[in-house]
Amino acid sequence: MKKKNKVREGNPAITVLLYIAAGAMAFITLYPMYYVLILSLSEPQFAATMKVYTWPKGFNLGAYEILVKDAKMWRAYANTFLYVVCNTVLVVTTCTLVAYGLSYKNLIGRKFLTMFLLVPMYFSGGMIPHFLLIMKLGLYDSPLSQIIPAAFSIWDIILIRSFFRTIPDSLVDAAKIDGAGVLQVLTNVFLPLGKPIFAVIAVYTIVSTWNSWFNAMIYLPHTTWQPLQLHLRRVLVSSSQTLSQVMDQAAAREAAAKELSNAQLQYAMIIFTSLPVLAAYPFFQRYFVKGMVLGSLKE
Amino acid sequence: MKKEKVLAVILAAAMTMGLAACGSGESAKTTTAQTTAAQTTAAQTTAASTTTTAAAKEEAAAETTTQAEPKEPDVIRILGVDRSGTDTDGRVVYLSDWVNGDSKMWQRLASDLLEKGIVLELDLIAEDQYNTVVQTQIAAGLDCDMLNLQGVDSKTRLNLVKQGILAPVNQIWENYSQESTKEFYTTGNGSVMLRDKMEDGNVYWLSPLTVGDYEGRVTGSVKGAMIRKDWLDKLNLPIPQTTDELYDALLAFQTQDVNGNGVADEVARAGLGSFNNGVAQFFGLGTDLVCFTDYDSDVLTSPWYMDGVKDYILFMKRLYDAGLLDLAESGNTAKVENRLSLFTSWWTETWEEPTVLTPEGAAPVNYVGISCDPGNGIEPVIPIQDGIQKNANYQVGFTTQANQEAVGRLLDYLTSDEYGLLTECGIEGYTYEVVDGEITKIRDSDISEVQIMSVLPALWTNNAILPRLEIADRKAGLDSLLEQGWTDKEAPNRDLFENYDSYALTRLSVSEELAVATEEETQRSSDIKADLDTYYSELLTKLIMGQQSMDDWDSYIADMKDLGLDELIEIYQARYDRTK
Repeated sequence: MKKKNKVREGNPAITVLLYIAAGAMAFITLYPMYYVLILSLSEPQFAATMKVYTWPKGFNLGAYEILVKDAKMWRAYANTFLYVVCNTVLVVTTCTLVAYGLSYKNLIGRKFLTMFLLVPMYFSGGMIPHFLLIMKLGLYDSPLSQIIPAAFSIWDIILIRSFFRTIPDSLVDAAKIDGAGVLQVLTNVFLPLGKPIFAVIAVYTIVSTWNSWFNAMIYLPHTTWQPLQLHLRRVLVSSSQTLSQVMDQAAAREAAAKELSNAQLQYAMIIFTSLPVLAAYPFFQRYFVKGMVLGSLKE
Repeated sequence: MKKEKVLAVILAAAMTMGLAACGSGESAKTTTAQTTAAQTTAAQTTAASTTTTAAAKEEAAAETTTQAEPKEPDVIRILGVDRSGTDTDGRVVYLSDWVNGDSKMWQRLASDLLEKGIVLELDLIAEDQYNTVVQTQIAAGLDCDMLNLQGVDSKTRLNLVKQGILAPVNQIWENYSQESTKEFYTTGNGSVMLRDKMEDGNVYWLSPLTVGDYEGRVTGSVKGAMIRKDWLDKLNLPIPQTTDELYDALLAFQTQDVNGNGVADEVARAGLGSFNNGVAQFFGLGTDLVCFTDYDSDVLTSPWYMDGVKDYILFMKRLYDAGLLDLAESGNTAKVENRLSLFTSWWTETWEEPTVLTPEGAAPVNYVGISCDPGNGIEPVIPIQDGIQKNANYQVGFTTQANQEAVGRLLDYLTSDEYGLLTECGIEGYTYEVVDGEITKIRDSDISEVQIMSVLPALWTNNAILPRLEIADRKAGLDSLLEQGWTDKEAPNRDLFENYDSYALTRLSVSEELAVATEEETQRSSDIKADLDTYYSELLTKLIMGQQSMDDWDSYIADMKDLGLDELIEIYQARYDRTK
């Protein structure tokens, strides 16, 4: 005999407990962001000591003023925007085309092609061969080094292909009966139905492109085409130098000069670089939820 | 639906424009081309002086042509760091801003070099990225005439020499430079560069050079322990003369809450795992794991073998047990929070004080140099730079693809008084003035580069693209401290220089005194230090914290010998002997 659940749905005590747990989770998630925000708004001397916990100590927008006037930062912002747009469009396009082909059950060599894709997904060539390849392709010091290698993702192909497989064959057959060719089946059936997975792939790509800096550090030696995160890293690294590490008097003086101004600046920079992604996330949320349950239900 | 279409069009346009821009491939070429163009233009502007119109320039050029065919300047391509400086308004200014802007400093340098028939083509890399870039470029094949060797380790340098990529600088100055330049590097102040002579007898890189003197006596600056004089004054305490007095003063700072924040949090920063902390020198110890027995000695030893080492550890343990030490491994939080009672810095510094946050009405922060007698018959030593100092901060090298003759002319300029003056002080009437025969930097100016030059050397040096040639007048430096009201800070420095012979000194850095290591020495030192550094640093820390007993002293020394301490001393000694 089944034991009856003693806690009924809507029990006020449990509801309160759940609210407290959710509140605690929200606090743990949101407080670090809030902490960075209040540090960025506090007077530099308080930001330097990091002893600001609830409200900004003093109110100083100096760091934001510096950032707004920083032409290099805006250039890096524009570069990141460029990479995000290009990579997102290219990843969604290339992955959709490959996944569409692989979703055809009668495709000759489909298993071989899938294996062919899976091997490099698990085993990459490593950094040095990748660097040599970029050099040989003439992409070193070119913004295309941030776009072309990132324009294709095997993981995303697998995701899209899995989604396409959930589309009933009967829909494809109906489209064919109506006279649709291979391309029309893609544009009139798969693309409209695939919006949730495209949104998921877009979010993944936007976030990963927005946060990436390592490839830029290796392949872009000059600041002209460097993305925002590399600029942010620069600000953070330059402020982490301690005076005991330097031997030269001029260097020690310079480090001391940056000590206070950078304390506030690095937090302002974090806020500045995170805002666009934070703002964009809610718009993708409904698709994101759909994408997460991808494949959980079968026809 | 319409909105979606408009968005799609905008995104497509952005991508197309972006890709089109990417395809143009300007990036680095733009930087270098603009740099060269800007430099040439700047140089021509300065050199042309009165001729302003294009017609006038053409006329002048035609006139010159009739006299002698003008030789095209030689281009020297440099891979270096885009060094930055902070002006007094807090703006961070980069060397590239000078080069691509209207910097009079850069224009003067370019003009001077153009007179020598040289134009610089710069490939400037952000400082935080330089190590990665230089290493990848070496791997891919260097394509420059001159490079900053920061981030290129000893082994890679040896490989560059073996592969014939780095050019022997001594052969360049020997074959292509003026007599005065040869003298500078062979018998003059620049002869310290010969310490970097490799096994084949050649020198492959140049280091920054500092030559300092106090009224004719060649001497460097002191970097040692400094104490909060304003706190001593507040508690009516004298400057400590002995380590016991120092302990009492540091304790008084805490017990009497001298910073007035209601917490006994006043602490001293003296790194537990190193001898380079100012306090160790009170006990006569050197600053490195391998050090000279005394300042004038040619014999190397280790602080572990010196008389004062046990007393030093016991004193540090006393400070630690009383909670008087700042245990933070890095960062300057205690200083910024107005809690730091003692730390190590240059005795003439004035840049630490503004970073300390004091309550309103408090006396101005004032750190002053101290030396304390441990009272056990051991004489405290003061860490001091050599008067002629080959700094180890960075080096520049030349590649074999460089035009050696042009590099020879560049060396002529880099060793000239003209270059030293421009780099250190700038332009007369613009960044400095000469009053009663003494150079005074202009401090009140709205111009960013003038502000930078008032406190820093020119941005092209100090780990950027060109080696520094610093001529430091110690007396003038101390006079300047007095003018700015730093009387207490000036006093110990003046006393040291005035009574130089009565002080016991120790060399601030040993590594800069040594000849360049051979391949075998590099390998062996690196193998030994990998374990020994960790062992001795942990041991020192644990002894001070009481986690290991002083009773097992002999076993610790035996362990360090097993790890290669004596062999390391021998290697350093051999390298030092080669400089003689």
